[in-house]
Amino acid sequence: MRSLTRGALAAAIALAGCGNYSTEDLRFLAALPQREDLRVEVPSEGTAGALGVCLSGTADVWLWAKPTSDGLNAAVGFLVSLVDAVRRIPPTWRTEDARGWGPFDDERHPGNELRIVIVRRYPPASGGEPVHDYVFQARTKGTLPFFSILGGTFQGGSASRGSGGLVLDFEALWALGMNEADTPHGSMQVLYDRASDPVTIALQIAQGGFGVVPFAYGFAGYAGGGGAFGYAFRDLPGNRYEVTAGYDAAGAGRAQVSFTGAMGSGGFRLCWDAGACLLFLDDPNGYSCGGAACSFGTVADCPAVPAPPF
Amino acid sequence: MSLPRAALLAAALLAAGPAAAEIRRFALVAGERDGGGGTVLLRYAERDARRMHEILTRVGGVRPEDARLLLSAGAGAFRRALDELSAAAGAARERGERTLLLVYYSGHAKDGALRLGGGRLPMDEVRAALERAPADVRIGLFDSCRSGAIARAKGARPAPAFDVRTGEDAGPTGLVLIASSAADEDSQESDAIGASWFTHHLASGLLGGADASGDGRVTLAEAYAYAYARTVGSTASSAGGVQHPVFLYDLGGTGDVVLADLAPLSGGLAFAASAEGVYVVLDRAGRAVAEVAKAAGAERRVALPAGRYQVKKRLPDDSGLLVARVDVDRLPVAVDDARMDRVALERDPQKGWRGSRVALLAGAGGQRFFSRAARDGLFPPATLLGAELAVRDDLGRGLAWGLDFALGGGQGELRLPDADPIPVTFAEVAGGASLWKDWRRGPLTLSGGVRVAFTWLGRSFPPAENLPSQYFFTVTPGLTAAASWRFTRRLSAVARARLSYLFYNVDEDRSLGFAEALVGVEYALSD
Repeated sequence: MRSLTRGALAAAIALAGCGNYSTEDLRFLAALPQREDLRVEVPSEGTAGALGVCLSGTADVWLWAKPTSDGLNAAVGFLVSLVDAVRRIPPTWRTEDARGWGPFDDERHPGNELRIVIVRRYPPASGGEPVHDYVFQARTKGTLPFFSILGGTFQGGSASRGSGGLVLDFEALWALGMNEADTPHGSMQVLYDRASDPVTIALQIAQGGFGVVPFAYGFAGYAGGGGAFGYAFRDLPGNRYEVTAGYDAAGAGRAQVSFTGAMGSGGFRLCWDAGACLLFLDDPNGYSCGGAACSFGTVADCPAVPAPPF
Repeated sequence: MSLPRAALLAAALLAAGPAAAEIRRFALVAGERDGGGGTVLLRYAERDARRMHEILTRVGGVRPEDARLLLSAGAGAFRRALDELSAAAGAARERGERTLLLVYYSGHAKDGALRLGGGRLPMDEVRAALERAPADVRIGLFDSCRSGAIARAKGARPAPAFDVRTGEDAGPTGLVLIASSAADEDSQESDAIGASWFTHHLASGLLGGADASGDGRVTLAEAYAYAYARTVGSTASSAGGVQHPVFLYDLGGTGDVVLADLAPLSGGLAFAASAEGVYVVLDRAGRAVAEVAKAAGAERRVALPAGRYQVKKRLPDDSGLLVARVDVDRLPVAVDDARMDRVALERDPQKGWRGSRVALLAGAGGQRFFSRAARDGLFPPATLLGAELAVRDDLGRGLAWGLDFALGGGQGELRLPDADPIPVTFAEVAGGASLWKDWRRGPLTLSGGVRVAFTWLGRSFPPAENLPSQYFFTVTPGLTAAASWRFTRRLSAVARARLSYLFYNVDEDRSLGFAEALVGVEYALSD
């Protein structure tokens, strides 16, 4: 009996393979968002508007949408760069519904090490779809506590076809020295849903950074190319604009704007064509034109958009 | 005839010494497979005839134009050829030449007649034809069942005849009849040697095995004595019963008849005086072409045409064989026990063992896992290019081992639940060792055996997927089978299939099976 056991053990050792060839690993990795999954895609500024050749004026509020989305995408890029660390190395341990990586050295921040855990569960409410919870932790090597720098949840088969949310703690990065020079403080929360049309992404940046002001940004992208974008920005004089815009695939759209600045607080509405030239402006208080009333056109002149703010 | 009697005759012949005078030789050599109704086809009668014809024309002093080789030609052709050669011998004799007419027959004999296909040739007729043939010496060699009847009765004088002397310089004259078996015995063929026993030993003797005197010439007496002793010895334990060659000897004159003169030949095998035992010489096909039963004390030469041969000698204690490969050309090749390889009995080249043979195989094929889930989620089908080194008959007759290498890959899609298919590039590298058994049937060879391989499987994904490349390395035991068809001496078409087991243990422990199929061409590096 003993020899039989030894023989079976020897055979098992001889036949046991090695490697990282795991489809389940890929399923766990698929739960983590990629840059494309969280990307805010708004049309480029209209050429005419950007060049300032509009006869009726330029939709300056809309021209701020693209640089704002670029800032948001930079924030997402920073986040994803942390997440991508897990894709370069195979899991350190595996169980049926969990994978763990590390601790392993953080190549980008020598002296620190990372630890990642992804857990899969199948809650009854998910309709059979798995829910993945993950946490990225880091610490200075040689110290005991790990700080959670990123945590999230995802429901669905893959990040490109599911929904999830995550929180990035910039304060923890600062505490561990893992920040960049322009890394903001506070935290960033991201909620995304790519399970249906439109794809939605909500980013709340508590203390600004990446060239964007603190705001609860919202983006909805439709399969047809149009979308909705809620964003905020400050112009050079320091006035704050909070914009709820809807646009079509060509870039024409309409927006409801909340203004806060030297001229007080209020709002105005506008529409623009694909070249970012104004078609309609409803700004009786002149927030968009230096204080003088500057309304023109009618709502009927506005383009149809998937998610009209008015 | 008893062995002592044969020895007595041989001694008497040897005492007379070989005739030195030049003699014109004529030979009729006939091999007849079919003996007509009530007989079975003989497997080696024609080969026996071809062998004797080759020996007689090469070392027997018979000019090619004076020899007739009849292969299953029938009784009529036999009679005509005998008449023709008798006439030619008579003409030569009239020109003052000394002449010898030799008739060799291998085939069926029954009820006092040689059976040549559907025709019958009474032995009395053959004997009478030889008796009246106008040649100084007439020799009849009959390798057939109950052929001893030809040497029986009717005034035969089976006794030493060298008491008849016709003159100081005259050579021998008269008739000699030698039959492979007694009048009530069967003559036996042997698959082991690919010949009839009697012809095999007679031929071996003519090639030099019978040259007991070591003078490089094989006389009629030496050849007969050798063939007699070896035939009796070889058939002593056979199922067909012991076979005793018989003779009728009616020679006058002086000296013995030299049947083979080895001296002018430069090549062949040379056995040292110290060599002792039974040596069998095999040709490339593994057929015995000569057998030398030698006692220590005198050198012995065996005249062989140029070519490659194997010499084997069974050790006296049956513990193994001595085997040597020799290339015969213009100089004699010494056969020395000390320089022969000792091998196990089962590696007897006479039993088909031709030594290990190396071949290279190259081909293309594919791999496919049996489980659909495995194909979709882990290892997609792949195209393979493979090469294999095969060493046959190295571990035993029909046993082969091989080392193989294959690489390949393919494109596929990885299907995950609730996710879009992910394009995947799959690669496979495998190296294995196999052990198998070959079953040969003509040009077709079927093989079956076991294999163990090291298998590396890897996959990668498009950059846009941002997924890591993965690999898996393991040992995959399995079974292998092949069918090959040899279409030239060295080239074969091969179809090979393998069934392998793979123990996958990354995500979970899973037993998987996969098949590989490969078709290719095999090139034999040796015959």
